[in-house]
Amino acid sequence: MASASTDAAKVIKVTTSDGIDITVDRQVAERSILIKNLLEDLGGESTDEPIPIPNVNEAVMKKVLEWCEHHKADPPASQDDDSDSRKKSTDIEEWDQKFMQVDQEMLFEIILAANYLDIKALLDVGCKTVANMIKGKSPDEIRKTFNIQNDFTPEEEDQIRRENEWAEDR
Amino acid sequence: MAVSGSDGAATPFSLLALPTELVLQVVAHLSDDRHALCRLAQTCRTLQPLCEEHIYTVIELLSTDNLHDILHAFAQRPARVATVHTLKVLYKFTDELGATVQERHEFNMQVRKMKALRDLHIESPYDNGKWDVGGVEWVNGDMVDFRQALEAASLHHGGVFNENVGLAKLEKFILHSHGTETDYWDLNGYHCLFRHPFLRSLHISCVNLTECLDELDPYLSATPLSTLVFDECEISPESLLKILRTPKDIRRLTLGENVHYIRNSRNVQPRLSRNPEATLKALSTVSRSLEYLRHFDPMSMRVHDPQTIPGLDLKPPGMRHFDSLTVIECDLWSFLYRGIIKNSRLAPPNLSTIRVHAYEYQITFFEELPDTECYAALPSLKEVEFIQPMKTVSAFVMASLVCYDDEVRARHTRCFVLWQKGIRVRIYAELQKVPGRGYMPPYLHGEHVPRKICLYDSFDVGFLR
Repeated sequence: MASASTDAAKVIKVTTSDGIDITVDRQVAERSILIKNLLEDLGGESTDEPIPIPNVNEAVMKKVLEWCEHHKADPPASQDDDSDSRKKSTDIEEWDQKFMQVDQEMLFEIILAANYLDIKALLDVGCKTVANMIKGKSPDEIRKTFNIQNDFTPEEEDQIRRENEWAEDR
Repeated sequence: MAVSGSDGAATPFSLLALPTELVLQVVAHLSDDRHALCRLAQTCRTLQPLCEEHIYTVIELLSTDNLHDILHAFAQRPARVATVHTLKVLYKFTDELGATVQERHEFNMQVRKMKALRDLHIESPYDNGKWDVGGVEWVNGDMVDFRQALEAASLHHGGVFNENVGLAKLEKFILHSHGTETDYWDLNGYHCLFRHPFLRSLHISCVNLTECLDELDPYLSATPLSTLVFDECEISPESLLKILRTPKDIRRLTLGENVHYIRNSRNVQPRLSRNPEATLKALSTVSRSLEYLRHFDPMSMRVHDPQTIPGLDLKPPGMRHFDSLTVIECDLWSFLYRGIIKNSRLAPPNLSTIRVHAYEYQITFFEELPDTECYAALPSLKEVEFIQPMKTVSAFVMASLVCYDDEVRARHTRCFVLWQKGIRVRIYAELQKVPGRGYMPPYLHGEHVPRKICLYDSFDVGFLR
């Protein structure tokens, strides 16, 4: 009895926004602080019931869970992880770089899902990936890459370039 | 929030479709790449201010070359001034500096508007002996501008604190300057340094702190200052008392008296060790909170034989009521060494680390360690470190210093006694990268700082009972 209960607690189900049930190891799913807190609130009694994730579809959820599976043994984030040095860095480990080689729509959906599911490390990787896509590009290239509407006149854009030029000398 | 993208939004993967807090996170990851930030700021009106928050967060001025452009940028968009978080005014001396007085003044006026400023670092370009070729304008101009800005953000007895001014949220301030005709400056109106309601860390140098400072009387336990560093200052016990009464809890205190800057007009004037009881009275105001205390005494530079240093007979309780004090760092002439460390009945009850400094040309700690008996009498002591300054030395010289037979035997004998009491002894060589330079605090921006190498560690010796 005790053994069966323990086994049952090891696996949970989530239901995605498009109505698909996904079975996943509890340890993997608990990389999401949102899911972890939900499970703790349920007190381990209703783990047979699928947990609804109304903001994430199946394709994105599977991708997110792939990341969680790879990082399931990572140590939990410490307070220090919110330091400026972590925020400033754009270094991404090799596996994560390959993981993020997806089309831009999926990249942004992973970021939104990581934010909703409260997976800070994945959110970081996503934001760093976008930051790296900005680096080295001209304003025009950035606009094209990220579908940004230019609401400056050419004169205004040039003025901003000149005003901030001193900072680039450093 | 449309994560799935199934709602048919026209631009499902636009950067600006992300919630603003996520765009901010992306931009934050670019904060060390100003080129990328500047390009991104040019893309649209939404991203411009988000990027400029990072572009203008840190301003480090190593010359006056950019002042005109920065002033122009501030004038075009005043919101930029309010985003400055860290300002470092570190102009290097040039012959043309005198022509920038007006521009510097205009920039200094902007400092008064830097409401988000947390970290301020100011060094006079006329430091290091150049005060007589333009320092007057710095002292009577820039230093007055900075003082007025700080004064506006400081506490005023009976008045209401104005949070809506520049420097109001300042937390860390480093200030290295000089007088109009000397390398020392008088505090004068700068007592506002000790009246700031948010300042937690203050480091100043070459200040004459011998005036009575009655102005500070109304501000008992009024500030959150926790780290206070005086380098190469003239400090009287009376002014120290007034200063130490203003913060609620000082934790780290450095009392660097005028050790190195001895010139014709300024003799050796040890003030604290000559008045140890008055100094202890001043320190007693922070006895509850003080964790780290450092003192450098002017006489130490003039001592060539540690055996000639007289002891100090102080009255109880000495520092017995300094319950939080765990680290004392000083030289052999300091009242802390002669009166407290050498007298276990007066030493702080939880003192765990003693760090003893020698000066160049003195008898070296590698030849003989002082006073190991008194360390053994301190029950809470865990480690003693000796810091021995040296000119750049070769590996051969270093090996010789550590390995002379007689000295090694004598060192081991003394350290064995301490090892039996669980006290670790380490001796460091403190190296100058450039011989003859870089040893005098304060260490200004870009100057070499001494580098310590541990050449002896009693816990690595392998003593056997």
